[in-house]
Amino acid sequence: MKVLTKIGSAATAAALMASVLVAGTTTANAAPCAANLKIYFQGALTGSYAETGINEYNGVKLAIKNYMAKSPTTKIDADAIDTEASGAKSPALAQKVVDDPCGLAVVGGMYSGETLAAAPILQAGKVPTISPSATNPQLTNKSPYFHRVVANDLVQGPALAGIAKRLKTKVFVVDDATPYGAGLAKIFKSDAASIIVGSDSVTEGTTNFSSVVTKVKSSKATAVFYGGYYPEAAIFVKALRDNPSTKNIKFIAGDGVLDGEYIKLAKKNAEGSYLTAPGLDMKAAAPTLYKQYKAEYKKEPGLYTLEAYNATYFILEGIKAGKTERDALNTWIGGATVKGVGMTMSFLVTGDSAATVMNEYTIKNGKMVWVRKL
Amino acid sequence: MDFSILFSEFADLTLNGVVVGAIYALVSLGYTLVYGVLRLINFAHSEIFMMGTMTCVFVTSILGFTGYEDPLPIWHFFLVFTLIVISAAIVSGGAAVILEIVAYRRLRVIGASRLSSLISAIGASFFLSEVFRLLTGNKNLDFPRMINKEPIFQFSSAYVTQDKILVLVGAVVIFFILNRVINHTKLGLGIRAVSQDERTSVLMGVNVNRVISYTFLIGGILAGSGSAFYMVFYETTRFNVGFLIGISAFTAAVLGGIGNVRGALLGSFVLGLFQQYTAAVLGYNWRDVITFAVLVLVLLIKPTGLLGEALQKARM
Repeated sequence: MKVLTKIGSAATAAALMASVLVAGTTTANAAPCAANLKIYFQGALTGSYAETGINEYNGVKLAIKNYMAKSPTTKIDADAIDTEASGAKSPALAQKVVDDPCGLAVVGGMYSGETLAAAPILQAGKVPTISPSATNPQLTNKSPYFHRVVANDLVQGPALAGIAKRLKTKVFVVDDATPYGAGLAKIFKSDAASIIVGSDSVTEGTTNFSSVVTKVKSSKATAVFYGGYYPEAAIFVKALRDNPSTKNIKFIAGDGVLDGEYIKLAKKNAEGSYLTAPGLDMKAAAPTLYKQYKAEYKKEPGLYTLEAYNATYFILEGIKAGKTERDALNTWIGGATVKGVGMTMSFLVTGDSAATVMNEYTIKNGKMVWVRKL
Repeated sequence: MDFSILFSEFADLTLNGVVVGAIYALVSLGYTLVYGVLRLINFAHSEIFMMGTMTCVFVTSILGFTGYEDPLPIWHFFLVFTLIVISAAIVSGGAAVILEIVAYRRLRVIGASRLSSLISAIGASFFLSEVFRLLTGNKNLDFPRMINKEPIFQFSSAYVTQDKILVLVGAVVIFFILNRVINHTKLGLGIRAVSQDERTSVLMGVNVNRVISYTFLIGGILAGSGSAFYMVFYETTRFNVGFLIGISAFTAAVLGGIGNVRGALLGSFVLGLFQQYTAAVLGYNWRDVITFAVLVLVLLIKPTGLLGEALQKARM
């Protein structure tokens, strides 16, 4: 009998707990947004990768500012989760967006690793997401709530391989073992297999590239492909230029390196780098917006500032169409075509951008210079 | 796996390994000296090194060096570099002494367990590293190019440059001074006495607290000087630079026999060379896998490290 009573009270306790949990969940989901709805930016606002993130967030804020200037019925605020571009930090921060009753949509993530890690959380919270710059192919079909306005690395990798072949080089491939860097290097390798003379893989945060430079030197390569981001790329290219045997080697890299901070860190060593990005040059593609941006932020826009502006613009068009709930907005995003500034956007069912843009850039006299469309 | 690179680039890999080993040595000596007198792994020592690198950046920016394009004339460089070494040594040495007073002394006086000191060390390490993360905005900080890195001459496959010579000569001078201090001064005698038997040395009139403070000071000065050489060689730092080099320097100290100064030196050079060779043959990311596997093997065969004696009787 005593046992039965115990079981009975345990069952009651469990039922009580369950009802509290259910009530809690219901309350969290049903809690009305007491203020303006928010579009969150997901990316790095502090840390080594902050430069790209700040430029993108500025694009988000500018789009919202322009939208609000027309006194719309639905008011929107900009907010951000500072992931420091880390896949370890992004899931918990994405949960914050999910739990925010005013959090309507996300522009981000900025880099592939943090985006891959946060996607399941944002999917569970049904938060529509448009990334302005995550290019890893693993994000294709990752979640029905994920979209991106840029071409993925299945376009960028072959474009980079095309540059290496055009330059008639023998290439040594180095990556930083991140989902983006290693992923892009893998695609590059499969497309440029015939001209590859060696490869190595380092870790994020590496400062000592001496053994890698020795391997490059020993391989007699005439070009290096680096799959990774600008902080390490800057140190690597410096180490290559300091060694007489690799001093004049051609340096080829993707959009993770193409950033003003790369030029600042690598200084004159960055000159002549062969870089690609699925992003547009804001000055050329959207001159009026470029002027407004410079007046607003007193600085040059970065790579993907325009894409961040347009991703936000896409969401704002959905809001204008009356889609102020997460699920309804997501369905609308999946089917709509929006003419943004300098680009027309729509998405495939996989979440990828229907239009693919790929550009080649270089560094000349300390400035990022557009070279050609690839 | 390409073993041929080991032969074709042997001189290059060896020179780089020795230079990296010299920098490890300057840091690992701090671990080993403190272990000698306290039987404590000072895990915050890596942050003492990090503070040295930050001081180097700070001093160069105060002096107005932001450029990269034009290395200084050699004597001008030596003048500036000496100032940087002294500043970094003062900051790191001072920080190490304060660390000892704040994080360890009280625990020692009340006779707290070793575990408490260990936790205190790890806590101090996190504290310092996070403070500098916030202060620097978690960014890579650049150190200006002040020395010409064009090769002076080529020896086999190795390019000998001024910065590599500077690190090697500087490290040798510092080791020589340290050797004099440890073996030929009253302070050195005190350090050796405390590390052999703390109780007896107290009975012999040694002021243990003072000796311990001085040991932290010496360790800090070595790490601070090491940080200046590191900055000239690598030209970049960030809040977690101490962790990255500290783990290697600590490994070197254990490999050589913790508590043993010569062991720390040997361990550092062995580790520096081993890392270069394995990175070249197996790939950069295999470097630490193999290094730590070898460390475990060495300790299995000789638990006290290459030159270590029984841990309780570690000698200077």
